[in-house]
Amino acid sequence: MLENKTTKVSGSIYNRDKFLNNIAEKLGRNRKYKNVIRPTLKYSCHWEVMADFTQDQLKDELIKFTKETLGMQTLCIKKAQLAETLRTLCAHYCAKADVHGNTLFSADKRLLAMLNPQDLVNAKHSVHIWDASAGYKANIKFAEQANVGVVFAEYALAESGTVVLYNSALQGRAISLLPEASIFIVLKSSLLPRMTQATRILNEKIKTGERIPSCINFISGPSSTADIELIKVVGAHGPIYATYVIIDDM
Amino acid sequence: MQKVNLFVTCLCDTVKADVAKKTVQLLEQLNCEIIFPEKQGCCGQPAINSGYIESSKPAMKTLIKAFEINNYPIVTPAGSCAASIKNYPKYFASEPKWAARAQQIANRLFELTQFIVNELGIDNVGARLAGRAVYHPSCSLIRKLGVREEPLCLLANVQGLEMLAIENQETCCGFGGTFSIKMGEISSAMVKEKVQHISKVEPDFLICADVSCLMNIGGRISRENKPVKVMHIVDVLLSR
Amino acid sequence: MSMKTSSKNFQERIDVQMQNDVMLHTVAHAQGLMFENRQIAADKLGNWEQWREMGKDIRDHVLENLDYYLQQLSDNVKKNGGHVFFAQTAIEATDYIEKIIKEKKAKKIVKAKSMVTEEIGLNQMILRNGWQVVETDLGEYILQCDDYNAPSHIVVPALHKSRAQIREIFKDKAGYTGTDNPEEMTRFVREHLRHDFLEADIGITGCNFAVAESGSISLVTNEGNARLSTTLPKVHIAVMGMERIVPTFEELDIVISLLCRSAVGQALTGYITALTGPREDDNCDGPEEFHLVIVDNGRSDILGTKFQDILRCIRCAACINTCPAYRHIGGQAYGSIYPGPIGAVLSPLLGGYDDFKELPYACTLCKACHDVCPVKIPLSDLLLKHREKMADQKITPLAERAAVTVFNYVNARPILWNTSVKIGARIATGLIKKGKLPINIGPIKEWTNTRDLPNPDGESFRTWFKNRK
Repeated sequence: MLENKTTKVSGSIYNRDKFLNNIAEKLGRNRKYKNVIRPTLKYSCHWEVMADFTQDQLKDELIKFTKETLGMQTLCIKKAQLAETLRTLCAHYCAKADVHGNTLFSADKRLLAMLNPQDLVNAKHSVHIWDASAGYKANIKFAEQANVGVVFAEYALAESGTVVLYNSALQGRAISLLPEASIFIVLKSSLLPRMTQATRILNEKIKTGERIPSCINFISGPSSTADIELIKVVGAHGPIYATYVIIDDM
Repeated sequence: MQKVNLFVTCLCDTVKADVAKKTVQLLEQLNCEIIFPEKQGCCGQPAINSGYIESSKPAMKTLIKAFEINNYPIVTPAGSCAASIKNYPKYFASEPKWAARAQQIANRLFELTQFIVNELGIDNVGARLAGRAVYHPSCSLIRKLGVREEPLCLLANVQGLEMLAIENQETCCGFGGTFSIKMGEISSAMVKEKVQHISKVEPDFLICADVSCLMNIGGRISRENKPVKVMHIVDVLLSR
Repeated sequence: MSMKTSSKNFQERIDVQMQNDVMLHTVAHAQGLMFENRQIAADKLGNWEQWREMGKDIRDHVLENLDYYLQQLSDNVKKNGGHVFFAQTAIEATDYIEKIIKEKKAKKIVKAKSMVTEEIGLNQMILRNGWQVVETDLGEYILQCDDYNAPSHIVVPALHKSRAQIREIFKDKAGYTGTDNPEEMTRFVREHLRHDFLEADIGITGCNFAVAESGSISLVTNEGNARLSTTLPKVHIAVMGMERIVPTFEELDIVISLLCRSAVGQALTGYITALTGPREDDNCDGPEEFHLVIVDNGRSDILGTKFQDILRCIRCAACINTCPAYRHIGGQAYGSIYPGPIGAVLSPLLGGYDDFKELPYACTLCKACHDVCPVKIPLSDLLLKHREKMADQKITPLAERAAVTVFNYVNARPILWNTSVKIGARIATGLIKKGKLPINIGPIKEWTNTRDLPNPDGESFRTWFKNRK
């Protein structure tokens, strides 16, 4: 049961007509209500980036970019190695926790189909799995205490070292946000050249009338800032550490 | 023999006449015959760049008429004045006939190095000058006229001349016409930094194709007593 | 803070800023770095001119059809269960937000960096009511701690502060005891603000671009503060300038690609977050309530005028990072939250000539900003249009108008001009000796304080040319 009972009312719009009439007037014409055709983009250079790359080439680009530009690691493993890989990573990220480490897992079915998070539990390491039915407080508390958050990414973009996350009841926003370290699991078959392909997929969903997830994140590495003398500091408000794990599913 | 009109510009006409004289000499050496349409005045930049476009139009028209006496190319040793005239057509948007006449003039107008390299097809004028030089690419040449390679190409073929790169090479020197008066402090700070960057590489010469930048940078170099000789590109191209 | 950041006049601001050596040093260094990073990122992407042209086309299309896309956007936000408020003025916007805060009985508000909320004076309204507001972007937090010191840059608001100064601010205002190491200070703020995020009732953000077709808003950040502000509080209020919109995600790709590279030289920033309505019913984090406040505040007065191009702006600050005037006076000299070339065009349009009439002249018309603008705004042409407008409205000084009248009179009359040039050459030759005039007065004083005048070459060219024949 949700403790914060959703008081979701239907949406509303205020002051629209006056506001938009004024815009039309300033543009020297009548209001446009329909038949505005979105012009086709003049060039296709955004489609040309890494256009002919194989999944392996995209994987290599992603690994190179994350290492050289984002200063973080990307691993590529077989599905069977996932539990062992996560055990090592979690131990590494939890090492700072003096007594006991915590990892928060997304409940995304695709992730849970690949491993049982409970296998990672040991004397020094606890695991929690996101459970929306436990409500905001309980989940946020886990997220706050967790050293590591493990999430499943829809796509990864080779050009910018980006993982694309969709929120859902099974995969809350906080998992990749509150813990100090993030681990993103992504399938090799889901690697894309750049944002162009990822936004095209969203466009197609929207065209069919599907509501896209309320929160989509394009995440490139750990959080960072350069607000002091433009010196890059990795680890601002979001996670300080991040690892991408590519599952070779092909 | 190619006939060419000289647009002298007011600065060259009054205080920097040597630049204009040398422009005539150089073009004559390159087999041109120089015509000086006497009814020409100033391109109007001081007024136009201060926003007085409407009241500048009579002077613009005078200048257009002055160059309509023939159909030969117009050459000027000052990028900013050339760029200024090339903007005339858009000021005459409400007077299409004048806009067309302004466009005719704009089409015939060339900055000196642009004319030599692109129109005359010459990239080596046989000049010789021993020493190390910094070239200041003026904003008007590179960003308004799109003349980036032409002067560099001519300078590269000057025997004995070594070109030096400086920090923030393409940054404005801070002249900006009336800006140097209206925003005197900012202009001062800009030219000081420019001279700092120039001085760092210890050149023998500072070269530019725009009289106004030379006046500005040269004025600062002279105030700091730097041992750098300030030269208009035409000075360099005539050196033997 | 509203758009105007200082009660001092322009000259006073310049005088103060130009003596601030720490600021000038920090700004010059940062500017060089940002300029370089932008160039590298653009080169790496390739076809940059094509990208720019697409950016321009997208923004122009949106502006020409702005009413249509805002209607589509608001319909879709509503469909997703969000609330849309169209605010003609800053007051209408802050009144609406005030009403929500009261309804929610909110005590603490976290804010992610947003220029438009600065523009409408949102924080003043919140503080006036005695509520607590926490700026969570590191740069904004520094300035908030420093008694709301004015921002000097639209992307890096505390660019004018050195690390030593920032350490002092944190020491005085936040109980910081560490060194001036940026990493140490950043960690301190991370710990310090975490409980604010957890306690906040409302999160307020800006909106980099809204997507009309899906009713989404996007946020472009690196720190993660915008994500926290839209994950933990129960209510999310996004405030957007009415022109910050694209038709679909396809265009979002282009403008975001341009923005990240132009602003910070990154292929993408750490977080690009697309938010569509409040959270779904079965989710347990994210806001239960979503409000989108769409702000006009003078923007519609720019539509349909010769200044319309400025509304293409995507707030990347590339123009600021390349402007040589900005480099030597810093952002606070502009007296507006929008400094540099973009600010010199936009501030007088949104705030009027009374407060900002000098800004269009703080420019050499060098056009460096044209070359870097990702949506090809002809910034210096627009500055010139401001000058033209002020000349037409006679806002310019009387002496200047008189001088121009005489100049244009003479310049339009060849005989008069001919005589003036010849006499002028003689006078100059007679007066200027070794780069100096006998007296140093009037408008050219600043020139002669730092520079010698050119040594005249004697007779005028036209005299020489005539005698030569």
